[in-house]
Amino acid sequence: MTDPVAQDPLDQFVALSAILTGVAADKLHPTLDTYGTAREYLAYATANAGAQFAGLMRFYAANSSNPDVGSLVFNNTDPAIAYMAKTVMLMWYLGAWYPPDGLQKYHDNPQPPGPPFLVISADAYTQGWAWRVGQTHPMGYSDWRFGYWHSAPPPLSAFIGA
Amino acid sequence: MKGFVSICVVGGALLLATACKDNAPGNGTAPGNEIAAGNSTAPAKAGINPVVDTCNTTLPPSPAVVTPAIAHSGLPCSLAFQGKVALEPLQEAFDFNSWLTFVALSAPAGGSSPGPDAPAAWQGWQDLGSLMLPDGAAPPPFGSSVPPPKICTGGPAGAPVLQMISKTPVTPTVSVAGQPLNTGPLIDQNGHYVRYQILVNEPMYDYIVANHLYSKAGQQAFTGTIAFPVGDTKKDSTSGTIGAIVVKASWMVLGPHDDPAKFHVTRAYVYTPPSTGVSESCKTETLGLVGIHIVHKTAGEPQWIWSTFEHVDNVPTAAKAGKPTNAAYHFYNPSCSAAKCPINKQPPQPWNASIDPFPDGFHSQIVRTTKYPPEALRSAALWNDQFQPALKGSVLANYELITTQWPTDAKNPTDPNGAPFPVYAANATMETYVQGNVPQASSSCMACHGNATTTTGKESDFSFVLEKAH
Repeated sequence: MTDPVAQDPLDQFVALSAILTGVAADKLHPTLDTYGTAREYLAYATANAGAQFAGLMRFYAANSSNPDVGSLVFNNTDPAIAYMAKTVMLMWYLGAWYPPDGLQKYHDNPQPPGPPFLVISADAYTQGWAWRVGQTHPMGYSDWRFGYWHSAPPPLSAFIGA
Repeated sequence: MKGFVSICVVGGALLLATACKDNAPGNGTAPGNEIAAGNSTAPAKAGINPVVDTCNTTLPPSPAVVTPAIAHSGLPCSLAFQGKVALEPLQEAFDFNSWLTFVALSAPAGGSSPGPDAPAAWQGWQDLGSLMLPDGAAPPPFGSSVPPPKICTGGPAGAPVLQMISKTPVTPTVSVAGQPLNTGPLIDQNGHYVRYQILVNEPMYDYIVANHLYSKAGQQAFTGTIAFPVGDTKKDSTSGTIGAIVVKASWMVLGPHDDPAKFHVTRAYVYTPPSTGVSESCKTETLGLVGIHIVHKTAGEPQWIWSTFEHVDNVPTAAKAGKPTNAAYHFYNPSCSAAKCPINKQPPQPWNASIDPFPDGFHSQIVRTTKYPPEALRSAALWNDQFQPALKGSVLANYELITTQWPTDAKNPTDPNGAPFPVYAANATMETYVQGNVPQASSSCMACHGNATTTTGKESDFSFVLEKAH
């Protein structure tokens, strides 16, 4: 069995991200990764939540063989791990960075306007998985052809590979 | 060379070219290896996209050393690749393919290797202005042109008429315009408008003519799926088909300080048609090639392969603006301040090409701003550094590959553009004002051309040519 701790950090990040999002790893980080989103997000999380993000990755590495690792991460009694996991999930889905402490504060006191966030990049916005899980496209951006709305979209599995 | 394979990359898997033929592309059109036309109700014209036995199957050399013999080895019918399926080696294969294609098509029509500058093979193709004629008339035989406007006299026989000043239909001076991008004209350092040309090769011309797609009426009667013929190579063979190729060229009127020996040149009529407030004008000029798109539809790349080259002295990159390496550029003045010469700004209106040079001493101040991923930058530099010395003695050595955009996942069920790489691509002379890396706003060949339609709204297989029908 491969030692998860020895895995390439990018591979490990993608594996964890697949669990957190429900999207297949080869969709998040295809062999021919044109946008390089996984690499961008790994760098972004490392730069913006270094120690806390490293803690999440260590926890995942130590528990990756556990079939309930997703639940263990999301429901971790250590809020640093649980909220960091939520931040990573939101990053993939919305292309935006929600600082984990902001998520925690909002959880504790859910008052408008909601937790602070920052859209990571223009490409991150179009590559958000919220659109594809909805079998649709981002507002203001579409590669689909004129009149696509006349036909049913491809099945969900074609989008997320799971 | 032996031992090649052509590929189509499908979801990261490497497939032999022969296996690609049965696969419909993501946009739902059948690429096929059509000898026949694509209209199911129209009789096929024999000879469209005929089989040839001259497909260049040269693999990218390893180590990457390009000799003059390799540089002049001929036109690939499709991509030749053998190696690990990863972005960088594939980008290198596509860029190598782009250089081979550029050199081969730059050879004179007779097919000999380019030496002293001479009319390129692609210049004998069908110009858009002689393909989409007023009133939907049938175009003349392939390679011939309609007579120039009466005002154009004194030029060499068969001189092309260059009238497009922009890739946009927003100006009334352009009766044959190009793209749905709201860009503006490009003005060189001599104050002249850059002129543009779009040409199609014989398989594409034959397909359009056989299906009467040169007219609105023909397009309305067309009931099939538009699928231009594809380039393809049989396994372990130089036999195959060329497929549809489109060339878009940008030309600069050469001034007294421009050395014609550094350019691929043409003698052409520079024509401005009359319109409101614009006087008809025509001059015979010597123009130098400053940019070229070569777009090739292949069996493995139904979204086409998009290669783009520029003259090496066009513009600095954004990072080098302010500390440029050249003393002079065609579209950038190193000694002009940003306050006086704002970067990448459109010329002030009106855009009246009959007033030449541009009023008030205006000239464009252009820098390259599209940021390419490292794989694409390294690959373009790798082959530019190899092909340019191998082409020493030819004007082609003064051109550089900017990038090649290609579909990484041609059959992607959720992306009919086939997940292009690099995501953004721009030629500073043609997508001047839409360079950058902003989704939907910045130039991406495939993302833009994926929206192409005929005059009836039918998808037109990544070509805007058909929407110019009358």
